[in-house]
Amino acid sequence: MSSIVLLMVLLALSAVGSFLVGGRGRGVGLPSGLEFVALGFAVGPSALGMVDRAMIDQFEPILQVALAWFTFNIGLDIGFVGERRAPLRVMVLGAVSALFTGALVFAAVFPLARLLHIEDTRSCLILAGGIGAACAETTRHVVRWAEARHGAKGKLTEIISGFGSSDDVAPILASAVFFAMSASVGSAVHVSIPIGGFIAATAVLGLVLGGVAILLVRNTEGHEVWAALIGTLLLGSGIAARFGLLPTAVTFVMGIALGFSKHRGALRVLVRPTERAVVLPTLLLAGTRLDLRVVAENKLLIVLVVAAIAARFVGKLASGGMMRTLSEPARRTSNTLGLALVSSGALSIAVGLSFALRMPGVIGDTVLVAAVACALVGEIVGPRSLRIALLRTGDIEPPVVFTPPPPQSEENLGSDPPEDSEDVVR
Amino acid sequence: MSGAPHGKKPGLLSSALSLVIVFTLLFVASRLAPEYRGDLGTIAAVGFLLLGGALLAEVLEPLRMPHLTGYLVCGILAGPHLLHLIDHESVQTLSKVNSLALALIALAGGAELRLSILREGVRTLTWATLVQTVGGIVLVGTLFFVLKPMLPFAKDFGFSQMLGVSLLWGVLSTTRSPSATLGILSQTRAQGPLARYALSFVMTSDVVVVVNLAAAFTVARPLLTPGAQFSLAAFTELGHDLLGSVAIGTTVGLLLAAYVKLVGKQLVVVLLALGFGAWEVLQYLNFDPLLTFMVAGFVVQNLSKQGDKFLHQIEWTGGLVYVVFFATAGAHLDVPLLRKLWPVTLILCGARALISWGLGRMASRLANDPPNVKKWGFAPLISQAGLALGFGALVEKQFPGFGTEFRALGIAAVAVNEMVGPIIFKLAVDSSGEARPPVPALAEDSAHGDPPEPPREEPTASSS
Repeated sequence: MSSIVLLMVLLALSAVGSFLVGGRGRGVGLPSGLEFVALGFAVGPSALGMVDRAMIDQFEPILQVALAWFTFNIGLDIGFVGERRAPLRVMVLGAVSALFTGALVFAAVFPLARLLHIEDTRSCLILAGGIGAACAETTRHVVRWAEARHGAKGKLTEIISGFGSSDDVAPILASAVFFAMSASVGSAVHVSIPIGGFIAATAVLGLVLGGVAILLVRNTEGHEVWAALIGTLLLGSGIAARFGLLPTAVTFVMGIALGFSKHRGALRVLVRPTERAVVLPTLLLAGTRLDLRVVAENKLLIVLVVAAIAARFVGKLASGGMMRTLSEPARRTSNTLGLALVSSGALSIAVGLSFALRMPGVIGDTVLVAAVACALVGEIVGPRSLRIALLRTGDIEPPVVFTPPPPQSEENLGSDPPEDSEDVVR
Repeated sequence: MSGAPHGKKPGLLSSALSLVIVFTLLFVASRLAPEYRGDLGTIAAVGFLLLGGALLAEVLEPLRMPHLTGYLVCGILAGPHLLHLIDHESVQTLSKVNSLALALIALAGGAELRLSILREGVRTLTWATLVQTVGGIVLVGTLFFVLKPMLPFAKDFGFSQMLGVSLLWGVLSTTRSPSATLGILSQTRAQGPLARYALSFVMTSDVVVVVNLAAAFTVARPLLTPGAQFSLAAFTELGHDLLGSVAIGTTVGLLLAAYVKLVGKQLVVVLLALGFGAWEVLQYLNFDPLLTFMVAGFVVQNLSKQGDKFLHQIEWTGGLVYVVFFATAGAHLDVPLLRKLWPVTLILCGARALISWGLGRMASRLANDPPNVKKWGFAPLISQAGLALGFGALVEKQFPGFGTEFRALGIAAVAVNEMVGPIIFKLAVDSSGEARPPVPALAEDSAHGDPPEPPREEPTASSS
């Protein structure tokens, strides 16, 4: 397959993405988008080999921009449920929960990472931190999926939706910290800058460019809004990469800054249709980069990924507990509410992909594998648990099944039919 | 970033401030990490050119400068020859956007050519094409011949060689810039006789120039290369290419019209596919992509009812691409070369402009054109861009003996015309009163993923 053909496939996927988000295909597909990762993996160098590594590398700049655009969208949407801000306590709960889960995963992985004898302690920290960041979130898409597929609507749906849209702060900012750690020893910057300086630079760059974007979109027309958004985004990504910072963190901060402008609503309407159109090809390319050999060749890495998943479950169960303590609607669910929060998806994979792109080899590949593994397990457990939880609170109407009347025997012939021939399955 | 709503003055100060921030950011980055060679360096360059170009265009607007000039100046300033914020490698990589930009320009150009307008202006167009082409080649060619002592590479040329190279320069001087013309028309939203003339002439001249180039090579080769024979074989090949391009363009146009009618959404994706994919394929097959896309645009406009919608989508997409395209062209400008060749370049460019003006007046008198065309008809003919550069590269390849220096002179001339031409044309459009006010700014109710529907109350630039 040539790079032009691959580009065409990506463009077609973008169109599919727009179609899916456009309404006609709403609710179609998995909340995590793993089917696209699987497709990418199948055609990639690790499986069928229809696309080779050199060709995938050609798309790295596009991939970086797609990731940056994706996190910009997340930043613009952070803490929002539709057009309304989520309640502060839900936002705090989301952020704290992701931080807690990420920290648990880090704590579980770091000792194992040290046993790997990879380079030095800093590399171990980055590996554990990367996996922690990738396994921290609850995907926003799982609630959207429940809304689209099951017509979920109610208090708990809103709470989990706000939770999912607020907890993205933790993985992105944690990734920025670990990238800064990596940049402090390996960037192209001539002057010596401490880790804190890199972290501050990430925030400052994002805020400055966000401010520039706010200034620019005020008096703009048509395509010039796009020029302002895309221009600041690309410039931010490029400069971040030059300094060794995490481009997605810079654009995330930009998005948050723009979220405070009065044009947020208009901008949201403008960029919303692009989100899935960007995410789907990104997931596909993430699949092509997925290299299971690194993990397969080292049994300890398998243990490490399993430990990460287990720690994530513990973290999310605890988060579910916190949610039940703080929110009345959540109390009506069971102790396993946390299982409804284990779905991860595009953001986790994006974090994994960012590490894989910047630190190819054991660290990057393992973080990506862990992110995909978490999404896979979450896909099996999460949506089903969420559906059960929402059924309990009545956010999802129980399905109505028509039960045919029993065949009438000679004795009941002529008697009245049963009052209600519908049986509600609970 | 320009065009405040309903005549309100845009925030010039905030634009200037943003421009300073953007320049400073990239300046600091390029000085603190000068050895960074990653792909994201190119990404930063695109972002910078997009922002810097658009902002500089706005800052220059009070001086009544065209946006194109802002884009070009931004590219020149940031390019590898001046501030070196963008390196050579990034500029080369960014050239890939050219095919997309040219595809959009050709599609838009074709779609702007309505049959009714062509029919109305056929007399004007015929006289202008005839006079500007023949007169331009002869007069500019003669001047080039006379300037032999100032041309280092032609010092040892005999009469026939000088005749051959003058012919090539004469043809090069008749190339125009559809992109610059469309850029100015798009910015000013001009409508009227001058806008219609500019558009139809420049788009048609592209086809005429392609034929002239083939003819010039055929005639010049025996004059310039000892032992070479006059052969008409090139015309056979050219005929195949042109006919093939028209045929493919018609098919693409019909498919596009069907897509716009039946699907109507995500045309941006289709345009990207055409710009990056189909352009490459057409070049590989030796067809003329520019002509193909021009025909496709023409077909959508004139053989379907989807013309306005299609045109609006292209303009919307092109708005972004043109900024990068022209800013990259600015970054490409070889400033040291221009410094070296400026005397002869200025004479040649000045004379070309003067000759275009004189020939324009003559053609207008013969065709009995409206006053605006009579007065300003020469203005859109000054700009030169991609086609002239491509022609220079072709001469370098065909005639290695002097081609490199010929091409360098061509690049210098294009640099001057690229800078001066849009300013003159913008001045002409403003003075002729054909410019229209900008569209409203971002509003909650007007922001959509797809571009908004075109305004219905007034016809577009060339539809009246």
